[in-house]
Amino acid sequence: MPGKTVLLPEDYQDRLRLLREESHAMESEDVVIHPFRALGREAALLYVDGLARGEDMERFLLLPLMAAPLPAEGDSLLDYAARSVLPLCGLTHTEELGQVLSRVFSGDAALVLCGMPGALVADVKGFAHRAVGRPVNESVVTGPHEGFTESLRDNVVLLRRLLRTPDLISEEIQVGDLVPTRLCLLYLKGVARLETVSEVKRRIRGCRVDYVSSLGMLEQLLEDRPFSLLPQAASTERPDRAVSFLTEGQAVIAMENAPMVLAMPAGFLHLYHAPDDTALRWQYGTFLRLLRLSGMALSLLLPAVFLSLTVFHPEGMSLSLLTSVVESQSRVPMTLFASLLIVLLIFGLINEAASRVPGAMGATLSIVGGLILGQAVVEADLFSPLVLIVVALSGLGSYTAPSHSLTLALRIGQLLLVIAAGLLGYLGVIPALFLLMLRGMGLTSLGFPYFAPIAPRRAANPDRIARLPIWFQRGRGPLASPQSPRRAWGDMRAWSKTKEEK
Amino acid sequence: MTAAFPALPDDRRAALTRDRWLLSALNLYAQAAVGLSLYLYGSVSTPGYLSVFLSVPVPVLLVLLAERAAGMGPLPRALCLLPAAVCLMDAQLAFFALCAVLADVMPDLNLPLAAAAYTAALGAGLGGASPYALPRLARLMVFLLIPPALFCGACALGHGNASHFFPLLGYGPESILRGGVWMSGAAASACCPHLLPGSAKLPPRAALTPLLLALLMGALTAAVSAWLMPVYALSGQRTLGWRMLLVAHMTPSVPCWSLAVAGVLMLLLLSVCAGVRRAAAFLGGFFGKKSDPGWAAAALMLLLLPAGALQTAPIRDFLIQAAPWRTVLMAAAAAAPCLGRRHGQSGRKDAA
Repeated sequence: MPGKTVLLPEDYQDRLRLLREESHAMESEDVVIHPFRALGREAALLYVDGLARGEDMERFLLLPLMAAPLPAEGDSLLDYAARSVLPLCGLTHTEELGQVLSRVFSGDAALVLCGMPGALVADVKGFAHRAVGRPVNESVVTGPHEGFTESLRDNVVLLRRLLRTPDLISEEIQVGDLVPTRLCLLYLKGVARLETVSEVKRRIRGCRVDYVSSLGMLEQLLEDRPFSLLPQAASTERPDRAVSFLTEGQAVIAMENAPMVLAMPAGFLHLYHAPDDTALRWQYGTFLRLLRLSGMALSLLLPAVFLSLTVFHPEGMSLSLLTSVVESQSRVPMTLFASLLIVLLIFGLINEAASRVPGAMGATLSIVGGLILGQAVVEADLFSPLVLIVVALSGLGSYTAPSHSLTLALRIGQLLLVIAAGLLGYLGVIPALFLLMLRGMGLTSLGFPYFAPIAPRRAANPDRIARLPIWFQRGRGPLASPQSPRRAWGDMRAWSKTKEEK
Repeated sequence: MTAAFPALPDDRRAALTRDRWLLSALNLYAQAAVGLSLYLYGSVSTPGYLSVFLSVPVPVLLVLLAERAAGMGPLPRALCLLPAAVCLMDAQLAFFALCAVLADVMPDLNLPLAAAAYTAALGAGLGGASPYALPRLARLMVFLLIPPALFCGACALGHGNASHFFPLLGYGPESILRGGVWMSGAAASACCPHLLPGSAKLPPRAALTPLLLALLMGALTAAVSAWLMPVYALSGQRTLGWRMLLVAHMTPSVPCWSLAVAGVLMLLLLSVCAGVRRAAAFLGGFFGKKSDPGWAAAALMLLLLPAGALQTAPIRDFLIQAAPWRTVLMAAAAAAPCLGRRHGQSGRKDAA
């Protein structure tokens, strides 16, 4: 019923009939309308068995209502029930059918009383969900080991536990016309720019879709350039990382049934930085970041450069390497370009298969795919060992990217560059790379430049490519509100200025 | 004229302008490199670096002149054609050199087809690119180009000879002076950021520092080239592409070859795109367009194709003859608003 508001009728029987029809209680066995007598009149409770907790309904709804004395004459039934009878905090009164159904199918229970307009909706959610556990895809060596779950409420609680300040605002928004999905927009008031928050809200409210099944789907509906290879939002399953996004002035979107949250706006640096960078000492953090950057460059460029040098520009290789390449390639029954493409495809297959099979079999598959298959194809002279080394190295490099979306973008970019190299060698790779960079430089996330504060340069936290010491990072990122540009106003190591007592 | 950048806060406008100056500096370096290979090696010989130094006052004067002109408001529509022609000439020279490099790197390449493919790809890329993309790319390119350039320069040091600098004055002071005048054309478009819509007013240092550094890099490149090989041996004997890749050819280092080829290609691609995009912006100003026309850049790319694809001697001679006139055109564009204002003021005084 997109865009149409239906009010519950005043007559009790009509109201009940409408609720029964619209909730399809006659067809769905788990949708229950439980009639009873309370406060000397007819009443009914509408809930979904399994979503609402039965024990809570009995203790906090049915028992108090049945045992309560009749209201005094002239008292409002709604006020009496809500304030004097029902010992529940999460009570909402609504007369809108859509809202009642949306809440009931989210796990709440709706109380309909004869003589009371609309319905009282009580928060008695009690469905089973996964407990807070370790993040599956963002494990770290140092740092906390808690990850988000599929419960929106738990995820918000996890964030609140880390950011114990009233400035953490959480606004609930619904998206989806046919089946509304609950979202929670979180931001730090005073730190996030107002235009960021209002733009996120505007975009979410502007999504015209029947149902949003995942956070990834929502990301595609919200991003600036949906045709770009690069992801324009940062997703994380770690509360500590989400908190770091919030303190940098980004808005975080949590969604029902999504074990991760989405941070917007997000640029390249948000995808390049790993969750435990800050937890490590700056020397180690910088070393790991440079290693990561080299890995990403290797992943993007190595196969294309190898192909270009070997096939088109042998003058750019040392003689010993060239001899080795030519010798090993001479036994292979296909061109280097074809073998490189096929091995890249095989690598992609192993990768995709390993991520789909159950955990225990994943390791077996990697061994079968990586070792046995690799050795067999080399022994059978199907591919040159150098090609396998190049693809394996570039594959390893792609996994150094902390974001899964960035890994995939790198691999697609790698494939485009290999095709360009196969056509014209360096003369294909360089313009292709130039055009990819040109596209990337024009990219924005919620209107903010994707590569800021590097290009364009912005006065902001110097935590960019290298991980500078914490006490250098007094400024916030470029996304923070101009009213709160700094994380620290004085010297972070103020103690070092005072004399040490012995 | 500023409608393409409707609600830019001051810090963003300043960042855009700084990036534009960097793009200008890289374009200047690319034009200096092209000028070296196209003209200076042959006409000035060993002291090509002196000619590059001699051209330094030109960008300084043009930047100061353009700054005054920009202070008087947007460039008058009719005058927009002059910088458009200068920028297009820059792009043409860079594309000509780019095609020569393509032919040198892959001698059996079908050059017209490759040039057409480059034109199409760059045209499509520029047509769809945001007006901020190129200036931002220039900032990234500084990080990507300078370390390889220094590495190649360092590799080259071990393979040169000081005797290659002799005769110290090459074909004589006159040729050096003529070379300086020719190179001033390469520096003509340096002042473009002042005249482009959307630029912020920055202190002159912000503009002049990157430009002078670019010219210094150009002079260093000329000096390294002279160190590597007797430049008189280049005149008339080697192709333009070979000269552009001199460091790659003369240094036996394996990574140096790859880095030099990649660096030269990137630099020339950036220069082509910068020239075409700026020319399109000025043409947009001439036609009174409020937005930066990406499609015009794509169309202008087509104009560069014939000269690049054909690579004939008459075309090269024409480019050599036409290149120095860029200074005159740009000086006219930057000076006309100032002169017009002075003329207006003196007219009012006379009337009073």
